[in-house]
Amino acid sequence: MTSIILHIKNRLEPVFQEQGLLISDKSIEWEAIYKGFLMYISDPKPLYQELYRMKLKNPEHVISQLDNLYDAFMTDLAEDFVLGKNNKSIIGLLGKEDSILDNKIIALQQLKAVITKTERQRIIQDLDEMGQRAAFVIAESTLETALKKKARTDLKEQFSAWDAELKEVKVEEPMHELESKIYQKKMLGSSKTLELDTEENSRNSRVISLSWIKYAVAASVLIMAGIFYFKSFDRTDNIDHVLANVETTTQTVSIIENQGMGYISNEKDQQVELIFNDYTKRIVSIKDILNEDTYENDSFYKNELDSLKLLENTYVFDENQLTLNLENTNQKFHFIHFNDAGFYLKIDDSFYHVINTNSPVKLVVENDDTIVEQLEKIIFEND
Amino acid sequence: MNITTLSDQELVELVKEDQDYLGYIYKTHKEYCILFMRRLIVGSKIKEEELGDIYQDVMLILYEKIVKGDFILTCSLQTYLNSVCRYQVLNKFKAVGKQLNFEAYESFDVDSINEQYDPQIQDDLEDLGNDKEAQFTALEAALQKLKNSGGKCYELLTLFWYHRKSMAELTDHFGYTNPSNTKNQKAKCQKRLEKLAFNEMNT
Repeated sequence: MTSIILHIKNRLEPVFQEQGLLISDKSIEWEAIYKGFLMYISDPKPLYQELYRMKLKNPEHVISQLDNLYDAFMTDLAEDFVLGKNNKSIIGLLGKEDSILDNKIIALQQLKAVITKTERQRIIQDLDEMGQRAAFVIAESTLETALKKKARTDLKEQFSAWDAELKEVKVEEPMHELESKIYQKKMLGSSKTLELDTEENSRNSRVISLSWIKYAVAASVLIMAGIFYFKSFDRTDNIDHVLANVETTTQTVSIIENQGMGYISNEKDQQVELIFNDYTKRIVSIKDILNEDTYENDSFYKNELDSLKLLENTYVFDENQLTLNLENTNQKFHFIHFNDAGFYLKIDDSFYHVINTNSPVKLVVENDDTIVEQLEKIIFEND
Repeated sequence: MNITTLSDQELVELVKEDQDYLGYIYKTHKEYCILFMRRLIVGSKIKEEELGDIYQDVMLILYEKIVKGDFILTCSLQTYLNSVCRYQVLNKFKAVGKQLNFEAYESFDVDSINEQYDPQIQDDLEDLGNDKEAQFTALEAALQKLKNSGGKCYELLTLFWYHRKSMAELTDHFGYTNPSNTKNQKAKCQKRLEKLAFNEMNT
């Protein structure tokens, strides 16, 4: 009975909250409400009486919702029954003429049977692989090496980014004079960025970022990482080789979907975030390095180039976020939830079928003319 | 964690959290279970190739018992699996109108842990009803469409109805804000599936 009362509490919580009543209120006779619900179809009076007794702000409003609440409650009971959580109260409600519960149970039993059949087939197909996955263990040393390598790569990328920032700031004055001016300025007023007050700069004012501080921090990190890092890394960093960063931009587009009365763009709650990772410049910069004789066979750069090439024109999709690994040329995007067929992305004039995936999948143009025609129509109507 | 050092009970507990461990049990016990069943089917019409299918069914029986939450291991896992294998073979024998090979029974070494079985264990797969019925096949096709369309609905429904995850576990798994939202999401998914099934039946 406890679980049944819990169902009733869950269903009634928002309704009672509207009436300014918390379900933890001790004046609520849950036992009486529960009994009232059980006999609601044959005799709703006991439940009405109980609701009036509770002196709610607007009992009629609650009563007007009872049909829906009863239906939801029966769904909860049917689910319990189908999942084998049997209860005397449920048994008592079964087999009655026009029993809502009976019908719900039949429907849910069939749903469960279909899902069970599908999942059984899937598990049988997957058993071997499941065993491998369960027994798969990565040696701690391998894990450590992999993490170390990744940390180094990240740090090098950060260096490149800072190098690029520094190049933008063409400071003609010696560093110590610049620092002294920054110090004086700081004394006068705090600001994250400081402008130089020289005559030259007043004509062409620049913002000088304090990027050198990041270097100091990075240097400290490197010292802490220890001599091992430099010894094991036999290639000295060549500061002339600046790798371009991956350009990441985001934009949010509304999902065009069928709302029962045709396809509409529901801007309020159905949106997908598009994240673009444009590797073009980075690929070019790696190729430039590999074109030099010294780095021609450098596996470090080669490996990264291979990985980036594999990522070209791929996507990862998790329903709320679509990551696109492609050149961002300010294309125009539409995102459509196309009934049973799932999601389609339109980039300029081409449609791409998008599936849920955690690993990168190639964008493939939809060539089915019927589908394309329907999708074009949806976009036309939506525009 | 070294999986090979885990006790049977610990493995069973792990299967509840991660079904991949069922694959590990499958591999570890397969050889002995097949050997066990091979001795039972001597002189019957059951083909050797069918033993693999029976063993896979036994894995499903084990998994469904574990996720249902009322599975208590009262013997070693190998003994349990042998017992269920035996019961499944018995059912097959019944289906082909044959008797069990009692001579084979007598030759089992009851002291060998890999040959022990408990005749009281008669666990079987839950019957799915008539899966050829039009409504069933329509729902099946609809479920496949739901799976192919991406999104979380297929996973949500299977985790709830087959893998018996609670609303709290599903809330955690999908990152919803509270179990009530998860429940609403599940209701929407079921509605979507019903609509798809309706379309299937009317096309």
